Amino acid sequence: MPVLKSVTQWLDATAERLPDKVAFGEDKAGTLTFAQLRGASRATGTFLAKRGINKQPVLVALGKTPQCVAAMLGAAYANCPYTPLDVDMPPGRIRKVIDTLQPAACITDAKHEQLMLESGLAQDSILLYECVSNTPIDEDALADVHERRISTDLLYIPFTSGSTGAPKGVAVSNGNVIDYTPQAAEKFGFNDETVFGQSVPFVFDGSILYVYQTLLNGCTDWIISKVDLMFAAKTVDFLNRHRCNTVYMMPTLYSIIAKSGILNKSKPEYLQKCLFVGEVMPNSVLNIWRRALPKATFANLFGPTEATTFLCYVVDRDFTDEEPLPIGTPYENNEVLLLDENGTETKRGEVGEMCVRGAKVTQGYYNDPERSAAVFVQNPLNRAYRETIYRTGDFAYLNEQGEYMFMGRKDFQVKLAGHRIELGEVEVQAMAMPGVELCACVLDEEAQRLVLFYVGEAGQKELRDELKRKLQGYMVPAQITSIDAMPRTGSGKIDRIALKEAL
Amino acid sequence: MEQQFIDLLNKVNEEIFDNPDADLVEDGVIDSLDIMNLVAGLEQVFGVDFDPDDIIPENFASPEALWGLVQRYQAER
Repeated sequence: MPVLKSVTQWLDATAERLPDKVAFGEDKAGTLTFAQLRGASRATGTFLAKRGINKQPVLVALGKTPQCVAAMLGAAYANCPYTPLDVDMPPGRIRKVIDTLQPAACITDAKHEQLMLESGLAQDSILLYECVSNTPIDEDALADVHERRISTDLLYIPFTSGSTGAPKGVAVSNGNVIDYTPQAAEKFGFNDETVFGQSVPFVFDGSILYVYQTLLNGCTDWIISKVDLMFAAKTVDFLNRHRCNTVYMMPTLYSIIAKSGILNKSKPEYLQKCLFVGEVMPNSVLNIWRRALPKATFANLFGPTEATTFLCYVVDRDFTDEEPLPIGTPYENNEVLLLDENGTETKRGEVGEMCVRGAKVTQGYYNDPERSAAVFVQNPLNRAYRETIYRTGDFAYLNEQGEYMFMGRKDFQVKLAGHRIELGEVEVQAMAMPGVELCACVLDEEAQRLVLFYVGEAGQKELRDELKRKLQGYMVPAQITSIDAMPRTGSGKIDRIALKEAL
Repeated sequence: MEQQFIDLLNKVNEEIFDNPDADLVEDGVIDSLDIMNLVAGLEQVFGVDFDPDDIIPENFASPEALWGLVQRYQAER
């Protein structure tokens, strides 16, 4: 049996078994069968390999389309880690990603070529997908790449919000995804009858479930457009048109659909599996869905990018609207440790910081040894040999049923509509503006929006415009308010609780 | 458009009235949370009930389109 060292081997096997089955599809961008996907990816991979690009990062700046998947897998065939880029990102933030990543190339389309140039990429490193995906495939060149690669080589580097202002790139290896994907397939019963309705964009690491389950099992993944996702009726219509039986969405989306009342009028008829991730799912929302789809399976998945989703909870009993939902139990081949600040395990039932050990722990932050060392640390319970664990910064305790229950974060990282945001990143960008002396960003949980308070002479509109140039849309505070003085706690720190109370 | 309506829209998203030529949906001025907050706010302020089938891109493309919908609901009461 050949050694499994690259996720591309899954595509090779599935393309042989189901060449003409639709792998990925999008209403405007069209479809790619497994054979077509493999062809386009191997063509792209050939281009990169023949240019001598190997084990160097490749940016992929394409929309949420099947072609984007082909570009990403093209990098994978060339054994280059890919970084999906949100084309709605402002050039300032793209520049930061480029500074850290130092990509050898960027695969994009004509529409976004200018943006990539403005972000500081050299013209000759910008590749148009239309062109490279038509490169005549060089089987020998690709075979050579495959011969030399090993499973610990990186598959992709998704970027996530960084509290000091620069986003962090998580180095995820082929091995991490090779470990995770079959376990999730087994847990949730994914197979070649699974039809996904993909809501999340490729910049969100949760999308690896859609992509790699599809490659491994021969599923079909229908990608929902951004506009359709904004409107509950259109989302439900999409899921019905494409007969989607599986979704994996953020709780915010479940909430929007539940609150719209659409489920009383028209339901996603084919939906059997409803998975969610990325933020706390309110039981009030879950219960609306459970009543609408009584036969469907619901499951809560949990895990930061750095540890490739390591917990899951398949809903197996009733919960009142007010009860918290468990975040679950680890997949097989995974261990979770609950540690206190001294690195000692807390007693059973006590709250501790969740730390993960095992094959799902990723390889640190790319080009960032300092921030890597802060959270990818030696297992304090192991004195005998080098073993890296990842400190999640999430607190939890084990309940009586042996399920983990989430108890909040130890820092200023928040989730807004499932997006991970370091409040520090927003603050650093605001402080960089002349006329802002002091600022604090808080999350108004009830209204689900970010609010920025600042002290200084800068104009509100100018500050907003500046933040829009530097931050992703969802990170720009919905409300920016100038105040005379920042409230302080007894120890002199900014009193964020007082700020939140003022909302 | 009534002032209450304008105020509510500004409260949900400060940029809604910035560009009169923009399509609020297609140009990404508003997002899904804004839509949810607009519906909730309008239901509360104007005492109307949104039909989920009316929560579609066409009715949210501009303040005028949305105001048209609210007026239709008010007339139907």
